[in-house]
Amino acid sequence: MDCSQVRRYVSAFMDEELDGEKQNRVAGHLAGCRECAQYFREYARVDARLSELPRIDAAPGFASRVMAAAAEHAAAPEAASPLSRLLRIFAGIFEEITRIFEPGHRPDTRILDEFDDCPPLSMSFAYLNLLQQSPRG
Amino acid sequence: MNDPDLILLEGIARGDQGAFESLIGRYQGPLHNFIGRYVGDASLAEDIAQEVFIRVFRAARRFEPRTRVSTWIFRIAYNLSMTELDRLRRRQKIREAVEEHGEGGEPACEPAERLELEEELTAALEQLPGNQRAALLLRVNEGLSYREIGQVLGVSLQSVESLLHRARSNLKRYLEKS
Repeated sequence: MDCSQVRRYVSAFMDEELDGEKQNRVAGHLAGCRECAQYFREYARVDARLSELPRIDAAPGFASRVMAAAAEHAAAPEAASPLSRLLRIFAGIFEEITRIFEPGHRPDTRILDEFDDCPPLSMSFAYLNLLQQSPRG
Repeated sequence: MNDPDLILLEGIARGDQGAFESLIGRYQGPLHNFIGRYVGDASLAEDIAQEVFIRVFRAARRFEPRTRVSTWIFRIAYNLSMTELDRLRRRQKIREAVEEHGEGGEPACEPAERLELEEELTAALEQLPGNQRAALLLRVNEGLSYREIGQVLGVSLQSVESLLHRARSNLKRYLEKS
């Protein structure tokens, strides 16, 4: 294993994430190569400095605030996703269509009754005729 | 799968408040540290960490144990942090555009009590691309394995190896320059 290969693996070597054989070969090379050993030490120093950073921790009372927020979420109904809203709309349309063909179904003509007449060749005239209903009730 | 967090998650799914409190206790420290270092803002970390736990609470019932619970939690944290950083960058661009036109804005100031060393390192970390920074923080500060980091970031093992190599190399260079 030459120096350029070792330097490519040095990061994974530090993390002990190379397979056993590769890990041993890198270790063997570092033991006998001062330049690569220096390269390894510089990488290790980066990790050491990073580990020295003070840890950012939760402020006091964080857990209680989360518990309270979660309780609020549990009490509130979950907002419907766009897909579920669309499915609900289609389900409503499907239900309306099947209801028309149910035996004994009588169309509600109250809205039409508010008008004086259903014009011939209109959709409402055809619809009521199909159902053998008089446009005038 | 022998994942102790899975027992807590099952408890949360059944509505056990104690299980939820225990899970918060186990992860509030690691999450604050990871998010805080990733976004470079401790107070923002608190808001994001809270949102992570709310999402865990709401999705506990739907969790499928194909990955460890810890990996799943860090993945939520990573995704939310990325989204928040993008939002902040967009807002920053707008603010800069406004300031260019002479409409004011207070100059940003660093807290005086910050140690120089920490400041240098924080600045160097912020210069790393987001995925390199996240990989390095998860590895060095939180001790995740390459496989776990891959699951958090949604990348292959080879990519994790490469991300960490480049992150260390870049960080070394930034620190030498400063």
